[in-house]
Amino acid sequence: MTVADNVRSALEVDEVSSHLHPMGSFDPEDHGVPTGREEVWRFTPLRRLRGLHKDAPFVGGTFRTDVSAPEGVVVDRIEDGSGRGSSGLVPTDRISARAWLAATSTLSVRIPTEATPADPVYVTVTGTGVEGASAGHVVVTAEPHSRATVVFRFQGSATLADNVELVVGDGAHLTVVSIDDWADDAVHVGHRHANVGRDATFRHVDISFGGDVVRQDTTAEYSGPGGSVEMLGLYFADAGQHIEHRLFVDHTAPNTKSNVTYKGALQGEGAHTVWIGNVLIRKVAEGIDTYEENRNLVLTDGCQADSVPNLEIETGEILGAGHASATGRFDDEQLFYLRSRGVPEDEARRLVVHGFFHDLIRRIAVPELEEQLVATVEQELQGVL
Amino acid sequence: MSTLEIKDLHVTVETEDGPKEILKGVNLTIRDGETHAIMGPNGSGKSTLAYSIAGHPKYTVTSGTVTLDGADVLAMTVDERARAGLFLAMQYPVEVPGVSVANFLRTAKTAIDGEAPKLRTWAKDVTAAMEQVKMDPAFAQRNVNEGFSGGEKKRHEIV
Repeated sequence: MTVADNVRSALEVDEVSSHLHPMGSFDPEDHGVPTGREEVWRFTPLRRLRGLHKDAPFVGGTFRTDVSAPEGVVVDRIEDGSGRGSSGLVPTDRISARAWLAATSTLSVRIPTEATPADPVYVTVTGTGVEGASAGHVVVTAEPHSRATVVFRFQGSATLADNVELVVGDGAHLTVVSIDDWADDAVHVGHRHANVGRDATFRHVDISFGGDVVRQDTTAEYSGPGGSVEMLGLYFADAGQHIEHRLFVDHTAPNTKSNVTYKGALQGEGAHTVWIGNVLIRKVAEGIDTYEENRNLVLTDGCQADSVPNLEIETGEILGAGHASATGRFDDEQLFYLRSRGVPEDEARRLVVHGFFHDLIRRIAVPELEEQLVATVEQELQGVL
Repeated sequence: MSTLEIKDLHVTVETEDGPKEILKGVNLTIRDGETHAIMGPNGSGKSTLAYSIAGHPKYTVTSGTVTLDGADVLAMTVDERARAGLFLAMQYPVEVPGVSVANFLRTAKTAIDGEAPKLRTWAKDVTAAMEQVKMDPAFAQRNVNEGFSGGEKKRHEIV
C-alpha cells in the first residue's frame, strides 16, 4: 500500500459507508426483488408498481418525447450507449438497473462551454398508455461555465421507469425543473443523479401533482470543491395518490453546499406522501454547509405524510449541518385571525395554503413557470375548499 | 345607530377535566358612541367575552343571546360577524407565513366591501393609512405579522 492509498482509504473516498444507500450495480440480478420490508421500499405500495420492481417486460413505445431547445443547445438521440454513466450514476435498486438495461436510446441535451441560452430547454414526455412498461434514459450535460434551465414535463398515462443523468461542469449553472403532471393512472419510478463540478451550481426543482404512484430518487455528488446544490420540491397528493421523494446529497468534496426544501399538501382519503432526506458528509468534505427541510400541510382527514430526515456525519470540521421536518393541519388560530378580519372561510383557507407554498414558488426563480404553478395550486385547491 | 346587546351569556371552554364554565350570565348593552371598559382580575373572563362575541372556535356559548341591531350575532360565521362591523383587536395577533400584508389587506377589504378596491387608489390609501399609524410602507411587502415587534403587530391591526 502506498501513502496515497492510505490517504484514500482514510478519507473514505471510494467506499460508500452510507447505510441507506447500498452499493450500486448495473446487473438487475444483483438487486433482489423488493419485498416491501427493506428500508428503502417499506413506504412504497409495490403492488401498484405494475411489476416494475419485478420482471415486467419493457415493451417500449408507450410514450412520446418532444424537445424544444433554444439556439446553441445540442439535442441528440444516441443509440450506441455512449455518454451513459457520465454522471457516475450506478443503479442502486432493481428498477433503476432494469431501466438502464432496457432503454434502447439515450436522449442527450448538451449546453456547450460558456453558452447561456436565453430560454429554457423543454422536454415533454407524453404517455400514451399504461399497458406495457417503458424505460427511458436522459443525459443532460452543462459544459463548464454555461448557464441554462431544462424543464421536464411528464403528462398523459404511462408506466415509466427512467434514469436521468445531470452533469454540471466546472463553474456551470444548471437549473432542472421536473413537473410530474401525469394523468391519474400513471406510474413513474425515476432516478436522477447529478454530478456537480468545481464551483458549479445545480438547482433542482421537483414538482409533483399527478399520477397514481410517483417515486423519485434524486441524488447528487460533487466532483470538485466549491459546488452548490439546491433542491426544491412542491407536491400535492389527492385521494389515493402515492407521491414519494427520496433525496440524497453525498458531500464528496470540501467546501460544498447543499440546501433541500420540500413542501407538500395532502387532501382526500388515502393520499400518501413520503419524503426521505439524506445527507452524507464524508471525511474529505470539510468546510461544507448543508440544510434539509420538509413541511407537510394535511388538508383533510384520511391522509398520511411520512417524513424522515437523515444526516450522516463523518467529519465535524464543517460550517453547518441541520435538518427539520414538520407535518401539521390547518392552523385554527390563523384561520380565525383572517376570518375575524372579514375574510370568508374558503378564501382564508386559500390564503393560508398559498402562503404555505408562496416562499417556495418564489425561490424557484424560473419566471416562465411561476404563474403556471400558482394556477395549478389554485386548481388543486378547488376540490377541497 | 348601532346597539350591541348581550343577554345572560354563558360560555364554556373545553379543558382536560371536561367543559368549564367561564361566563355565567353576562349582561351588557353598548350603544353608538359609548366606550365601555371591562375590568377584572386575571382569568375572570374578559378575553373570553371578546373572543366569544368574535366567534373563536375554542369557546362554546351554552345559553344567552348576542345581537347587533337585533340581528343574531351567534348565528353568524366568524367572517360574517366581522363584516357586520364587529372588530376584535387581538392581544396576540397571529402570524400567517407567506401571506404578504398587502395581499391580506386587499383580500380583507374586498370581503368587507363586496368588491375589489380600485388598484389606482388602493396603494395610495394603504400607504396613507400606514403613515397615519407611523408604519413604514415597506411592511406591505412583508408577511402578515411575521417578525413584527409587539407594537408593530398592534399597529398593523389598526391599519
